[in-house]
Amino acid sequence: MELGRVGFAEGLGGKDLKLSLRILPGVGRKAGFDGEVGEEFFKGEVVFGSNFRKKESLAVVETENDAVDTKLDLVG
Amino acid sequence: MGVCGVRANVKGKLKLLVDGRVSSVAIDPIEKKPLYHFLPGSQILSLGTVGCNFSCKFCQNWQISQTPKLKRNELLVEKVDKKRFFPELKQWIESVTQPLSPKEAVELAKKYKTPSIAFTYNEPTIWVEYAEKVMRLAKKEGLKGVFVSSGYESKETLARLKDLIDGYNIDLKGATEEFYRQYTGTELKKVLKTIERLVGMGKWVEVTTMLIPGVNDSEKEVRWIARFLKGLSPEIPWHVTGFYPHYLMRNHEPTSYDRLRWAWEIGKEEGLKYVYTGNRPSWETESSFCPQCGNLLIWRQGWQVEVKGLREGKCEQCGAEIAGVWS
Repeated sequence: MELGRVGFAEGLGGKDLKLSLRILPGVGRKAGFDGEVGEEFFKGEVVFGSNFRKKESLAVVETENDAVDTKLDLVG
Repeated sequence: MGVCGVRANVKGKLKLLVDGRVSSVAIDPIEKKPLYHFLPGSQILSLGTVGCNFSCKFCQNWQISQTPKLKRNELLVEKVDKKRFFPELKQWIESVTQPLSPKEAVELAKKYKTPSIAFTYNEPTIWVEYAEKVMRLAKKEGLKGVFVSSGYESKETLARLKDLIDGYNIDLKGATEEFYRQYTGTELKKVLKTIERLVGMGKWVEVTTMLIPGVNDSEKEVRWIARFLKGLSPEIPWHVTGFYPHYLMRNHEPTSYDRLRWAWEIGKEEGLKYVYTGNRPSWETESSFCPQCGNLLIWRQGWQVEVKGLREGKCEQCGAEIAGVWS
């Protein structure tokens, strides 16, 4: 089951803090959904990421100016 | 501007900047909330915005919960003119969220046939009026509502949600005021009061404690939490979950499964009937067993779920009533 994700197009916590969240619905294609929520409702970038949260720790900014991975999992 | 980063005094009126807007939408397994005794095996439309009234140093979703405050602070540091402050913050929030009307939210739930809607990912208490509007429509469609919250709801907020929200997962993040003050910027006693109130209201409540090695996982603290919950009701499911390095604690070690298992055993020893480990797959401590006869009721591993020996809220083997919301 894919999980809900949020993508950041620009550096979170960077100098100008102009992060750009995208609606990443994470509707589980594996579970038989067609994963079209984002496209239909938001016309947003849809990214289906990989394994639960392991990737997230890599995505966390190492310094304030680092760019952030565009694939993030959310808890809850 | 409120501590949450998304409420502002605009010309004398309290305005919610994320009303009708979301940062994240997903169809999740309900076990991810985590709710283990609430429509097990079902999927739940999950909505989140941005901002939080807590400032947890270990926040696992800090990218959406804490960033409005960072933006606010940035504007303050820049000494942005009062006239520009609110429009700039509003513009920023609009750039990281997108509109989703209550009607569209309910349509999504119907389209994907989820029996419930969760207000989650970031603290829903700070955007309660949006959740309320969604649930007023959702209730007409027979959908249930879920709050995943850190437990800072006022008495008034709980009353407002009384007929709209059916299940809660409340974080009980630690056992001492010192921990709450130092690591979350909030007060333990208010969270305890919320849990007490919800149980008193007859709401379905599950509680989550994320154990952070060396910070909130001493035997004294873990036992205190288990005893507190037992004192309210031994039927409250307690989730002890693992910490991953995040936000301001990204150099801290993650929680081992052995530590979670140890806490799970303490919960059982203290008399809680349903204790679960989380974030570290292990069917033995994630599954539900009948507290009376030990029969396997619901098998779980990660997000895989199979209802085994539970029928209509009772153990198939011995007939014991199992607390939860099953239909």
